[in-house]
Amino acid sequence: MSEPIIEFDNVTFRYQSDTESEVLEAAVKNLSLKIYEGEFVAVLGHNGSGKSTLAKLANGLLLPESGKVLVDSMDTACEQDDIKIKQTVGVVFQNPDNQIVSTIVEEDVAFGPENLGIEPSEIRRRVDESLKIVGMYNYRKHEPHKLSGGQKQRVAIAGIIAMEPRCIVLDEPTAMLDPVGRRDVMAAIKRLNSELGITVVYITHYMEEACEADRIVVMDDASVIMDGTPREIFSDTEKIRSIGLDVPQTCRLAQMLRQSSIELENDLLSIDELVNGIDKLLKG
Amino acid sequence: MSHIKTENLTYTYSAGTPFKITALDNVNIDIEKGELVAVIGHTGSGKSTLVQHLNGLLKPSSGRVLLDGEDIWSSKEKVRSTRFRVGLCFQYPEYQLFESTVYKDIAFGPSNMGLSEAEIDERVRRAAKYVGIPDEMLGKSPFDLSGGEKRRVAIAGVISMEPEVLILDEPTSGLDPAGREQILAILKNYRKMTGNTVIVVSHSMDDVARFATKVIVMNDSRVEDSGTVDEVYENSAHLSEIGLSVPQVTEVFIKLKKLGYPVSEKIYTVEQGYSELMRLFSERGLLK
Repeated sequence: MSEPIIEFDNVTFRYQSDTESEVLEAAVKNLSLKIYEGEFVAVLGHNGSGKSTLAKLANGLLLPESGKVLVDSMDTACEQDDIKIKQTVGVVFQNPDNQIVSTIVEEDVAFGPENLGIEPSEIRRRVDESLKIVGMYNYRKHEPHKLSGGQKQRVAIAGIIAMEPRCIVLDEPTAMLDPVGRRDVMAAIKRLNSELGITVVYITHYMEEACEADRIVVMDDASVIMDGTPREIFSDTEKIRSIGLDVPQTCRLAQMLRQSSIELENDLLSIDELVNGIDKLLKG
Repeated sequence: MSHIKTENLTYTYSAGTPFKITALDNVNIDIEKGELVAVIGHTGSGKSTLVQHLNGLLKPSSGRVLLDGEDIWSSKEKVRSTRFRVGLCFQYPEYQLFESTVYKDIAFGPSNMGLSEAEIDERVRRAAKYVGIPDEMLGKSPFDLSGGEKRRVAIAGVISMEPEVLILDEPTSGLDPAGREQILAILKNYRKMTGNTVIVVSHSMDDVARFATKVIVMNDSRVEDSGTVDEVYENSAHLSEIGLSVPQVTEVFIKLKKLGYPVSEKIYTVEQGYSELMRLFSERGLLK
């Protein structure tokens, strides 16, 4: 396998308390994880499990207390590589309103590349391309604050893509969106991965979204407790539920049926797979 | 008997300018006392604008809002009293916490109602109990709490006013599954203990199926449909056209039915799905 684009090597991180005497629990504890180029990895975990901290550690927005984070073999703690690291791994956050800086969509997308000192003609090209990929090109002259949440979030993603990162980390980008907004954002992200080959680390609460990934990493209590394909992860319904997460309804239904001695296969994930599984049994 | 009701409610933003937008267009809803109502619809369908009318936060451009049969805008006193009787909790209410302690934050509403100290104290503790905030947390700064805890404190701040109608705008958004369950339990519990009306704006068709006694579907500034979960979810194809999606398990049964199996399509929760399939397997003698 190729070299990892992000490598967490035994990383521990804790936030500072306001009162100096109090030492907070580690938000990430002895965490090791490798993300490879071209992967689409979903990260699941309940609130407070350390997912967002992981996102901020991934490109040096936070630095580990111990252990190392390597981005394309560069240590995020090494200041002189800082700009290169942030160009390699871009982060998109949950609330689109906190990420928009300009009053016109295309200016907002241009903000990143402008700060990298890129030539105007190249910026123009990147802005147009990025907006097309997320399906917001027709809105390039609009005012961002008048867009819907899903549209704003796609503009924020375009702003990251315009910096041409090799990896993009998204921290619950759809948590504040409605089903349509979620679908559009998810479609844009899948295109980044499949068409541009950008590595995607996708932090989410939505199990249906996690099913779309190649690989799922489950976090609990500041570390990684499960790592596998969606099929592998969701076949262990009980473990997932025991840490306060849910599995897709299809998996839960299949699990309940299996417990009543109905011999369904173990890895039915999509609606069609479950329907076919049931159909097969009924036909005998 | 009707508890809260709108009559031809219409609301336009930026009226008289070229940016005029009709956010509500002739909306008629009628909610009875003690119901647990879900308002669903995609972003921009008018859900939030609708609920902001119910406690007099927005004034109708035309039409009326009636609480116990009386127009809430009939007098100044009436509007003021409505704001105490109908409690509205915004989306992401944790951003509105502002006091130095959890206790003071929850007490803010009741303090403005002219209650005695003793009564305020009683209400704060009762509200904290409803949302599962333990006594020892009351002295803490709300900013030191986790996201889920902050959300519950903010909801307690509305519950402490003990509103006859409790309205929450997307109370579970951004929470993990365990956090969502907790919030839903609070709502059900508040309704059960007080017999009051609860209205919840939601995107999650899965959640709605499990708690609502009545569903109101908003689309393009109008009420598209309303009724029980069964009545509304029946038309799943239409719901997905207007940007909503029926639960996965419902789709499983729609597909099984298409394959010719004698199953009900009115299956909205995993538990219902399980019973329905067990019935089918048992009828075919496939159970061991």
